[in-house]
Amino acid sequence: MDESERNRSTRRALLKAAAGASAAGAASTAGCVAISTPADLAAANEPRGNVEYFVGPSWLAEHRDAVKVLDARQRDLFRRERIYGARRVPLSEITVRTSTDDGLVPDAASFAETFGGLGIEPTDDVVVYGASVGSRVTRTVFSLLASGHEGDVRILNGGLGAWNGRIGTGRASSPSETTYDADPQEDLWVTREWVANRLEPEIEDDLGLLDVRVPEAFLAAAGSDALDPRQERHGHVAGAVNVHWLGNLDRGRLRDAGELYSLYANDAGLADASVVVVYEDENVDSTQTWVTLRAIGFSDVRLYEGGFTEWSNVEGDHGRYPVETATDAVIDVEGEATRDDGADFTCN
Amino acid sequence: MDSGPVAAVCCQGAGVLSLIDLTTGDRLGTVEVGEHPVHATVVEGRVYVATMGARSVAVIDGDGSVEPLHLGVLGPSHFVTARSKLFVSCTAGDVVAAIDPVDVTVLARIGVGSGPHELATDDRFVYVGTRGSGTVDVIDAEALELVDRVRFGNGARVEGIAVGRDDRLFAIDAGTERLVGLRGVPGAAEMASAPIGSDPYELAVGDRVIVPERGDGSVATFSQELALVARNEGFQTPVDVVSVGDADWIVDRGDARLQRLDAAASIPTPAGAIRGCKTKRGILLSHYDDAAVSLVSPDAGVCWRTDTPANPFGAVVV
Repeated sequence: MDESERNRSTRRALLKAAAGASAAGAASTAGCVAISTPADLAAANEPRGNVEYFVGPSWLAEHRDAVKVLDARQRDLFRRERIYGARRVPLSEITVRTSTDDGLVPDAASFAETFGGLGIEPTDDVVVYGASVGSRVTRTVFSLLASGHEGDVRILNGGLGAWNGRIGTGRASSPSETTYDADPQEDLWVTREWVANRLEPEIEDDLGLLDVRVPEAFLAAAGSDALDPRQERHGHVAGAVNVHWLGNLDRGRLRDAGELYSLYANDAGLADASVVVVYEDENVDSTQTWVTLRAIGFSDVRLYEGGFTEWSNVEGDHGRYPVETATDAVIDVEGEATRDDGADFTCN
Repeated sequence: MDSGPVAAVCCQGAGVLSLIDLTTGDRLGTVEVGEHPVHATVVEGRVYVATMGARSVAVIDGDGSVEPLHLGVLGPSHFVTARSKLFVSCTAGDVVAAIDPVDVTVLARIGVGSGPHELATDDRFVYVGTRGSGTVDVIDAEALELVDRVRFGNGARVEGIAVGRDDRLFAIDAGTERLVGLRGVPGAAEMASAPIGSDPYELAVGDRVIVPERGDGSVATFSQELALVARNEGFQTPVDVVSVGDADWIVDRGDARLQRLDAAASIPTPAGAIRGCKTKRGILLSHYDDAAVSLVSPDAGVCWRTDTPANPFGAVVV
């Protein structure tokens, strides 16, 4: 979508929202003050600010027939209620990694096979949704882009709860499979060795390292449940800044783009980073910040696919893979998503 | 930099090295070195400053120019020199960096336990006390490899560490409040331990092992076999030991006095001090809480007192 088309869509959404607000105002005079209209819902879930990827329900309603819709939630929720015609993406199939000499990398061929099985073609325009805009949704987006998806990839802001259109339930019919040839986009992720090379002594570059886990994990807080027992070392990759990924969300929607930019560019000090690398323990939650940063205008954002678990468990002398603990580079944020969107708690 | 006796004092709160004429106490100037400088050392005619708030050490050349030497890991804190190399612990991380002081390059980062703090050496090996992992790690100073590790167990936090005679090593486990005696490599291992008072930090090792017990206002003295020889009381917050001749002087953060351990002498000082640096002209005291340093002679008392930028800490004579 070009800029003018996006602006037109935004205007249309605002007009629809305004019309809904008028209707709500009329209704309130009849004593229906608490009623939330579809237009209210649409307005509430319009992305705030100039962002890529995210669209509101009005946009989806308008373009429903032109896009394929992917549901990133768990199977039982999908069968209970979904956007009509949506196809469910199993998370386990889009988190597959391949081991290389440089570390773990996304298995783009495996992702492509999954998308092909869902009847997705590389040129399709796709909208992904979940219960909100949590990390299951963004992992799906990452997997599409990592596979070299050529069509537009968008996210329904607010998730299923924002949708007032046609709903489907029960077991979905199997779509016709397509041939989806992966075209791995290696500039979207980095490996353990890539990170280690940038942290070599005497190299003081402008790499931005962003750890999206809870602060207790980042700081290796003694006795904390956040410390992963599978990890031989606790703390964070040397030089990283901590901003929990839930800080990107406001009631299940993407936070205002201006607030987010200030958070990352100013508070987290990433304004001058030539490349920003995002990581967590594994490779799901980190994609939420990966998408968010790209959405708000950071031009070179990459995912450390192996995550801190790979980093902390490196074999042999770990002098090349340092872990820090005692830093104050934690940016306090608040936010929440639902458990089904990758969050298992509220961060505040 | 002038060639006379100059004290270079790390002023942790101001990010500078304060240069002071050791003879007169005159302030000669300050050098900006980076965040939280804590310790300095002189190697190959250059002053290296451990800037704990940075991922680099500051290197001051003979012409006074300052360049950061990037280590890539936060919290450089303590130095030792072994096998013509300079080693620095990165206390906010889990590595010790080895520096070639001739070329001013980082030779290697050696992975150690979490929170490496004080270092000691017998010139063959570098011994690293770790606060996070509670270990004493042993680095081969030639091969630049970790060759041994002694784990002190749950709750351990290794602070001070020093080499004694006959390949003995002593370490303060502040977590369990023990003085631990170790056998060096090969097969480094804990040999014996002795309970010590609360909040221990540093230790001094000569014929005997002296441990200030900060929380108790006492100083314990042990034989090299870790038999308690004496526990001297009457201090406020003893933090450091400076040996001059046969006398051990106790630096006390909570008391404006420099006292001999055996209570045979006591010298009033301008303020409590956090650290003492032995020089040919006396003991240079860092009055961390009062932004000042003073030179104290055991024979003549306070020679001079000079204001400094905030939080003077480690010092070196250049």
